[in-house]
Amino acid sequence: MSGEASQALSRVPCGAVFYVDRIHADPGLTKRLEEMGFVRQAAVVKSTDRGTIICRVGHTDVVVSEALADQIFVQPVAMPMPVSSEITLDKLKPGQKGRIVRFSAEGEDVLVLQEMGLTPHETVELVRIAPLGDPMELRIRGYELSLRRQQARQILVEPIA
Amino acid sequence: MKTIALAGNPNSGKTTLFNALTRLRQKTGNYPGVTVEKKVGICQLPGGGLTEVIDIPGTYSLSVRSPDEKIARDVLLGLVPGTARPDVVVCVVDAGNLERNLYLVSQIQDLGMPVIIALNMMDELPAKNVSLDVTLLSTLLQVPVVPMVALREEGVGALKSLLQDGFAYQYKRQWILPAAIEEQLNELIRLLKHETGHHDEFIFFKAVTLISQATLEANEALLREMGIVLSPASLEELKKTQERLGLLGPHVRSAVIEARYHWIKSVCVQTVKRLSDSGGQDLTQRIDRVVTHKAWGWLVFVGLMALMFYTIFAIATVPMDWINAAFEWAGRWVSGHMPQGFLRDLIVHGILAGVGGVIIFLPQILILFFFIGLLQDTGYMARAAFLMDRLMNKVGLHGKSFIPLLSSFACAIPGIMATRTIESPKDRLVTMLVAPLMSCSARLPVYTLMIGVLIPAANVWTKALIMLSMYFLGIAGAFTMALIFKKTILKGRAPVFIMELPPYRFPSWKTILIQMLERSALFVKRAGTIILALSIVLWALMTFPYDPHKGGTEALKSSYAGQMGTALEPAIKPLGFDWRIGIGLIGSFAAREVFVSTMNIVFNLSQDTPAENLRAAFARASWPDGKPLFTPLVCLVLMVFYVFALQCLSTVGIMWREAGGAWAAFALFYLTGLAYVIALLVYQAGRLLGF
Repeated sequence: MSGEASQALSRVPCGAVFYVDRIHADPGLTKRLEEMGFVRQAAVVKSTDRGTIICRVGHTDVVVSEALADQIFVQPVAMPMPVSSEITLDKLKPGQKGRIVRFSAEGEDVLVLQEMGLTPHETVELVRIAPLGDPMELRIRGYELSLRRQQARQILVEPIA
Repeated sequence: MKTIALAGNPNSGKTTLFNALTRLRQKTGNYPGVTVEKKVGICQLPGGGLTEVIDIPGTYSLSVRSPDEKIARDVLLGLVPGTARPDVVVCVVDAGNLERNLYLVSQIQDLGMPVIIALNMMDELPAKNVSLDVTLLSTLLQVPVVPMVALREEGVGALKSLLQDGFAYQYKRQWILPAAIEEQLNELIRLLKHETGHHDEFIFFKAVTLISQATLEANEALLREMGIVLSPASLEELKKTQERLGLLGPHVRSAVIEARYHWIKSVCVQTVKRLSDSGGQDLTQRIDRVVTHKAWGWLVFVGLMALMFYTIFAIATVPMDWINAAFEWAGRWVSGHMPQGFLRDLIVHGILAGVGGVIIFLPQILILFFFIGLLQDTGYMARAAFLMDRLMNKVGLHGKSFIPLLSSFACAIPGIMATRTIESPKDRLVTMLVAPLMSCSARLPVYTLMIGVLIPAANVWTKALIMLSMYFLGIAGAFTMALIFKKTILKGRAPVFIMELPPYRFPSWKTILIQMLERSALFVKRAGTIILALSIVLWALMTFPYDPHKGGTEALKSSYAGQMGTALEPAIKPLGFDWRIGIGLIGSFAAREVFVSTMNIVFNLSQDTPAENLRAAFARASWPDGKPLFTPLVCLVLMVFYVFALQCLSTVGIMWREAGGAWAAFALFYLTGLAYVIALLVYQAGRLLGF
């Protein structure tokens, strides 16, 4: 991949999705950052940049100093994330978690789901399925909500374990 | 007087805080033109001053996808006629569900008016093993945060003091959009400022809402709703901005949502600390294991519904008998103390009988709303909808229609009132339109009488079976009609079924009690006036023209109602009915059980005749040519007619109130038409088969 579009994490705007391109640091620090999740192609979203930087790598939130963020180079997203194993949300098993990757539909319905907190990169757990087979109960952002399969099919997730 | 708006997500304890702030100094009504409930109260501040509190509908967002969300937005923007624009917004936030609750807060902050966060349910945090840094939360959100437990009124005093003393409010937006979208947002702000001449303090909020619209038309409509009409030049500019936004990709529409949640996440990461990672399940998860279990779940569900039903059917009859006795006593008292004449007759048979016929439903309504309040406040209602959704989905409704329909077995009035828990207006209307098809308790006397005439010698089980098949006929009719309505006149894309399953909580008795009283007062006040007027009309129809020489059957036959019954005969003869049954049907439009008393008059029996005698009279009744009137087939047809027909003024009255006169009239005509057609089919088919 060309490095011309990559920027230091400290300089990119908050809210948008970036990918880790490379880390410009000594091997020890690079290893520590990789352990925190800053591996090549990991999705990074910065939430605040006043003083220390809070950002989300993969599905964990981490805090890094500005000096450290100067050494992490990221690239903007041009295409849907390269995810090999995405499945629709209704295919999760009860008790299984998944990270929301994208939506296969567009429009008002998707906005309703997103406003309830089902946004990309967020981890969602399929808690259970109703005794009659529909709807399903999900846990997202620390609360439970119920959704029909029909809508769950519009949400693509990457299963976690 | 200053005005405070109370905003918040459903299940955040907003109503509890409203009750704690206003005590009982509150008024409930509807917003003009919609059936969204408007609750306004007066709160006394520590210094003795008074302030108005508006409880805006509980919503998850201000994005205007339901009538509730539209009203919530319009009240905050000061666009609702007759409702003062709020000076301060108190956002009720569930401390245990911070992330999603802060989403609405973030939208409200965009309005730029002073915001206070009432951080409710602080007492639930220890059980969740969570600690919350309230001071840091307040700093990060840039708003005063008052931690509280509204149910126990902890922290309510602090909120009142804050409202009394006022506070400096400075908010600067923290969530940031990707640079390219941010640029277009600034463009939109500039455009709107140019249009409104800098006088509109809600410009930022309005500009932000424009980003997530798909089309120019949607944006134009949205702006018009919010009081901005664009000049052609500005419209052209808006179009260009929209095109530029469109070029950024399909995710633009959700960019604002994502940006808000990212910011919220960063706030939560800093303020919420998990104390230990003990993977223990909390109470809600343990209860849900049972309540949504494949076997136990149904057991709990059926048990609860049976209990509710038993209470409505069995326990409510006791106070209902008292009410009945009281009205009968009042009738006798008036009869004994007033000279004979129209006035006495009007009071006894028109007003007292009419009003008594309405008030008698009060115990059922109180009990039903006690249960609904209890089920909703504890969180079980959402589980019931979760269990039933699949079934209701088959006829195009969703889980939340179940309780109103079930309630309608007792009485359609509380059932229709209970449809308020359904957010989608179309689904709510469909539920209302089919609710009267569930056989209510007022049909029981008619069914019992007719089954007795139909097969006098039958044993209890046969009778019960016939009764049960009438109930099933009603259910089948309701589901079929629901499906037809959803496919025809109330078509429309099904809204996303998305329902929060709130944690189980101990109910607030005060909130339940207040809701019970509110509903009863509404019922008595509004439905009462319409029903009173209509009962007087019916009384007049059955009394005039008055001929002192006639009595009993003769008088009734020559009355307007009798004339109508006679005039009706050609129409109802194909159903096997004669003019006498016609009068019974007309009388039944006041209330179904009136059929029995009307028949007593028609067959010249006194009001207190035991049912046996009426059955005997029915058995003797014949057509002029000597053929028996009440053949088994006619008895069956009559019952079928009662299953479908909307013969209940109170139901029409309550529908009028809840959905408007047009829909009430529609329900009356469609149900009566349906009853006629089906009764006709049954009778003619029966005749063909030789019955």
